Amino acid sequence: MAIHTQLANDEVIIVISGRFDFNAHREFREAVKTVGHGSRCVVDLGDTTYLDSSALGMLLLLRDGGRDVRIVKCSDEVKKVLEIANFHRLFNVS
Amino acid sequence: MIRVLVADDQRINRVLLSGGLDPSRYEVVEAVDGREAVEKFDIYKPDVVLLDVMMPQMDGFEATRVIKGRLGQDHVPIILVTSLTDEQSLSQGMEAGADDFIPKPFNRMVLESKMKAALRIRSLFKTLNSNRAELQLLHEQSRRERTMAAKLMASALQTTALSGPMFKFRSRPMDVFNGDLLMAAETEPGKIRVVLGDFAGHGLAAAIGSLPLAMDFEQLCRSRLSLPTFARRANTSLRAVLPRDRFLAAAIFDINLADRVIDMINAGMPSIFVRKMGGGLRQRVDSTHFPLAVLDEFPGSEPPVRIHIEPGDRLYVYSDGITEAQNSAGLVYGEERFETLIASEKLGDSEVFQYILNEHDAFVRDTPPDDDVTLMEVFPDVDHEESQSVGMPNILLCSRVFHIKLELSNQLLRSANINHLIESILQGVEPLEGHRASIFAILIELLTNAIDHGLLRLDSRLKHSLEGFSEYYEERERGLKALEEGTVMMDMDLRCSKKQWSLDIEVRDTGSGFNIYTRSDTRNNKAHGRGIMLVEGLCERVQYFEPGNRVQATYMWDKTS
Repeated sequence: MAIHTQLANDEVIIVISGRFDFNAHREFREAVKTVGHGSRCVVDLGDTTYLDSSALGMLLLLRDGGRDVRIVKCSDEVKKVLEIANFHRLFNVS
Repeated sequence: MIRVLVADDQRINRVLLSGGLDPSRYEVVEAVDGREAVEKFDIYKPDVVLLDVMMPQMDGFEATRVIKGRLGQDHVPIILVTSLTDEQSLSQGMEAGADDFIPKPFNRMVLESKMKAALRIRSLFKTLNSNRAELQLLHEQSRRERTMAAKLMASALQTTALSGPMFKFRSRPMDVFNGDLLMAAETEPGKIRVVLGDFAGHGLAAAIGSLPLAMDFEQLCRSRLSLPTFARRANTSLRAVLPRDRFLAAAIFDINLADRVIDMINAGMPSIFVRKMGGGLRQRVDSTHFPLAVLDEFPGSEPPVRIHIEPGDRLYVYSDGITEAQNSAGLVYGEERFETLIASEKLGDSEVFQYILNEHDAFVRDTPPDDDVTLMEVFPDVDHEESQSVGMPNILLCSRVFHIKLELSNQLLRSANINHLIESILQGVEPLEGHRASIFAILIELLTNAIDHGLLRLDSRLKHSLEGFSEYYEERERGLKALEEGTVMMDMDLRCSKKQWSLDIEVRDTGSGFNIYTRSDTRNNKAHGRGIMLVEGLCERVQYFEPGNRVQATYMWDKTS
């Protein structure tokens, strides 16, 4: 698991590779700090193999600060998990 | 030295008796009455006892009774020295347990010869006892070794595919060892190869013969050899190790669930029967091949017999221990009787197997079996009655592909990264392709709930904020580090049916139970309580069992996807 952040066109892009689970919470919190309240942000799950409910929880908390969050590059498997959790209604998932 | 206990209240008699015994051979201990004789008997453990009958305190009869009562397996001759020669006194002495009598006044020659006879008997008893002890020890040792060997054999012969609901079988050896052999393995998903064999003879020698084949069996199955090639290979490997008068009769068959056919080679086994649903015979497969290991080359000219399975068909394969069983009246059970039961319309389809066993037991009753007895039923359409009781009506033609058992002890939970562990388990399993993310999420949720709420009793409500989120996981980490006791167990069964895969998961913890639903709040988009909702969304069914430390979940997916 690794989390990288990068800035592009006023958007913070959070790239998560490998397993996205509770082990990621510290790194994820650091990443969230770089995203200001009310700003836009992209979560890139292109290299994410697995995610669990704590990952979903973290995504929700990212959205809480009035941030506009898009989740991108999901594999079919990851998308299925997000859809089961109804996340495609809360987030822009692609 | 032979130790003799001499008891008489008259000193002169003691002296005379002692004097009558050669001091270079006999060591004499004296007692003045019956009670002292008993005491000195315990202390000196003499080889022979000479007792006067009329003594104060305790007479010779009573002393004889007491001493004989303490002997157990040992034999110490007691000779009564008496002036009483009437029949009643003699019989009283015999009843008390005396071995012989010497009349008073005694003659030295008589004393010497009676002593010799008594000692001869004692020495016979000693040999007998030591032989018996040795025999018992050997017997015990041999029993232990045989039991151990039988266990080893059993574990070598155990295969997982047979534990599927499609098979019913009973195999009962006449001895500790079973010369009947039953093996099954999946050659590829939905295809199961089964061998039911019967070695010439029974007991250890017959059972040992199955080892080379058993060792190779799963390997041979994995290499996906055709049925005739498999039979040839098995023949060669057995021929190489078995003595020339040993061979293996065997029914070797492939169950192909998708195409609904069974291909069968009957090499020297009794006729195999297929029962139609509701009764009647669909097919009978007689032996067309030599048993394995009879010829150098297994003849491959006869192709396997193909059985087309219609819905509800049941296949019966058995060793001749069933049909050739004899009862105490000398009657033979017979193939006809067996065939009649298989075809019987009076019997319910699911009762046939148990009915035959019960009927067979009643037939042979107490007659000890003279051969190993194995009966097997194969029922490819497990959907009809059986599976409803299991609660999985969707699984048709089901067979178990793997079983994984995980036991996470508190030591392991303290140090290991469970998520990483689960990830690596799922990695290698090919049928999970395309579903690993879902299965990972399910497993992690169920395990996490068991750990967090079952063992650590954490409160999810901490996870309201990002700070609380971290706090929760910090608390979790502290809790895990300090975890003194507790275990989480997980069982996973992957099964395949004609169209679907199904993964049954059970997670248990040693905690006192928790209610995941009162701990969850899924109405609004809280950052906690999402786990169980996710599991429920992904799984066909999820069920927690009271008091809340056991959960079962089933995840299914189509084979085509």
